Amino acid sequence: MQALILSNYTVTTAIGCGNQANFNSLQQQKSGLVANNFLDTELNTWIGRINAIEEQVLPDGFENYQCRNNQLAYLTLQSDDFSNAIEQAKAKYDSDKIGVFLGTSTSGILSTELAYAELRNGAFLNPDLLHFREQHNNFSLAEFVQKYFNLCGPAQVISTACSSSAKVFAAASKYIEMGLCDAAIVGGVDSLCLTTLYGFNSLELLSNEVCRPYDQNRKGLSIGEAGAFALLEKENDNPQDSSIYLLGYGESSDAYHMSSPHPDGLGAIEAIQSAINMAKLSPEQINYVNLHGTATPVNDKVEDKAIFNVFGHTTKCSSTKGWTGHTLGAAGAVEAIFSVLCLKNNFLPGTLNTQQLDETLKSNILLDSSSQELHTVLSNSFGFGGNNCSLVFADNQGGQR
Amino acid sequence: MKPIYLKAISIIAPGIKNWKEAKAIFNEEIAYEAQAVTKKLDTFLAPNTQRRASRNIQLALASVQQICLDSPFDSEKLLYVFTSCNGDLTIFHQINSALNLPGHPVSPTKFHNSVHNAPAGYTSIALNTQSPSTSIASFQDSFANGLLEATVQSLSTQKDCLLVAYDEIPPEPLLSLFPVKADFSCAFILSTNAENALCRLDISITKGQKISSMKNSQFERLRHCNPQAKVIPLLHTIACKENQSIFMGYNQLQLKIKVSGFSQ
Repeated sequence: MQALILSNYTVTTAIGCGNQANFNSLQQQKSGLVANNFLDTELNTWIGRINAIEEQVLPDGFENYQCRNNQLAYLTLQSDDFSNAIEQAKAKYDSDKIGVFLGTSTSGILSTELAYAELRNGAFLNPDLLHFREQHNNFSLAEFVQKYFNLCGPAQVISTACSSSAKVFAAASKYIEMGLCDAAIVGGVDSLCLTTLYGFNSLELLSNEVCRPYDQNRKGLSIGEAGAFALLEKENDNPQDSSIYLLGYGESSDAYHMSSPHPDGLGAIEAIQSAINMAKLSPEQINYVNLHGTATPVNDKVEDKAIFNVFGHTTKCSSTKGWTGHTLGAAGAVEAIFSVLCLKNNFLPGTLNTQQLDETLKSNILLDSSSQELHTVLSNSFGFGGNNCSLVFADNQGGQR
Repeated sequence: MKPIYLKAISIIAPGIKNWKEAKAIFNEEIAYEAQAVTKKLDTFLAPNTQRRASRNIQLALASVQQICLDSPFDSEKLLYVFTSCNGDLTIFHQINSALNLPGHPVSPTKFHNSVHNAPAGYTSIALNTQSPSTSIASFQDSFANGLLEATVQSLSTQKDCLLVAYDEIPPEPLLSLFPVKADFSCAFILSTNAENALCRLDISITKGQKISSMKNSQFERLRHCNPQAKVIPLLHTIACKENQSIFMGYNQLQLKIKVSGFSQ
């Protein structure tokens, strides 16, 4: 692939709004997880909730799009001068040549869930109150962002569960390569809702304490909500010494089970290896791996096998889900931006909340944070349905272009 | 963009069981009767899995099976694109009904089947392929978006791509918010290789064009029965081997599909 520049990016999670707040919390080992206090859910679990979402009011003309997920998208767009970067891109490219590729697993379905709760009283779903296209539908996220920036080019929502917003980087790359776009907004937004909380609970995958990825006593995941966006441009359109590049992506399927990964991590290995190959790097040249690391017993066990298979026991790896929780369809983009923040700051995050590393694991999983020169990072995202995606990012000293 | 070649088509629509039947109907060799899609659909799924699979999953998998049996291909070498307007509204309804019962008894199977990429997951398992798949949603323009995505994937990798577009009639109370009159499912195999192709497609994004419709009122009703049925003018053109351009809505723009290169 042609290397693409992340000319602007921003992330909002339970540990903060914007890049600096998130990076500060990463450095200060400050988790955003709290004991579940979402609506009247009676689940004994921890969540990565963003309190500022609820006060967001979408701009005039977007009233029908008002829902938790688009409120979170709107909140996320307000940091790091991201909107201004899009305005600058619009001055450079035609508005139909800036694509929008976003991932979400549940979009604004919370609005419909809350309307269903009212059905018990014999009421109908009221189309004047429940805006199915603008709130519930998966595409709502891309439609909102595209209209908000007054763009009209290619727009797409990928919904492949927890790999959704990693795959948007791959999709945007292909559209740019085909000449359908000159630049693309990529990202992901997923917000708390009842289906995911009770659904993961039904699968017995929720931890009743904060998630502890790769811990001997890990009990499952903590669900979080988050938004993350990046502007991708071709290298020669905006080169700078400080540029961060998307060098490669790898996608695969497990072909094994709907909610359990392949026991030998075959799909994960394929995704990781393809991403590294596309980046024209060898595994030894990857300085840090941001793991999917959900803290479910089976994910961490299988991901460790995959990592060990590709990297052996030296490459430094960690999961940042102890800070944010598992942000599902947003996790790919969130952890892509976290990886980029680590690259920029030569910072290796540890694995927060993890007390005792599972001694059966073989890869080099960091518990403590440290500083180290970084030039190349790989980020993993794996989803239900056996859908895998890995991304490779580098600074201008990492890899060849 | 470079041309893409259409290798195979499957279709399950009201009154249309497969592509062979669609060709005869669109060429008006046999009369068209808009009967509801049958309850039983043939898929590669094991009987137990099929029983638990939702209508949407079955619709998608039935198109996959039809196109596989019709035109043998190497499932390991294909890329996969799935497109559905809303994902699985029946499962959403079932989960939400459970959420409102005491104890919130959400079924774990229904939950993992509720992900938008469930049909893609089942397809990879049924065909035993580790090839990548994507699952997209574009509300009313999901077919056009899927066709463009599959074309981009095939052209950028030089691999063949299976596109599967499907949507069910949702249950009430969601039906009134998303009125769909009939189940519909359709699949294409797209290739950069012209050999044995049904026809050549030149696909581009354009603006200011009128969306293609059907002169025949029965076929026009068929086009309106389901958002994925917006592909009917394209299928009609291919069935009748007409060299012409078809326009489908693509977000705020249109997708232009220039059809040519029919084998005689």
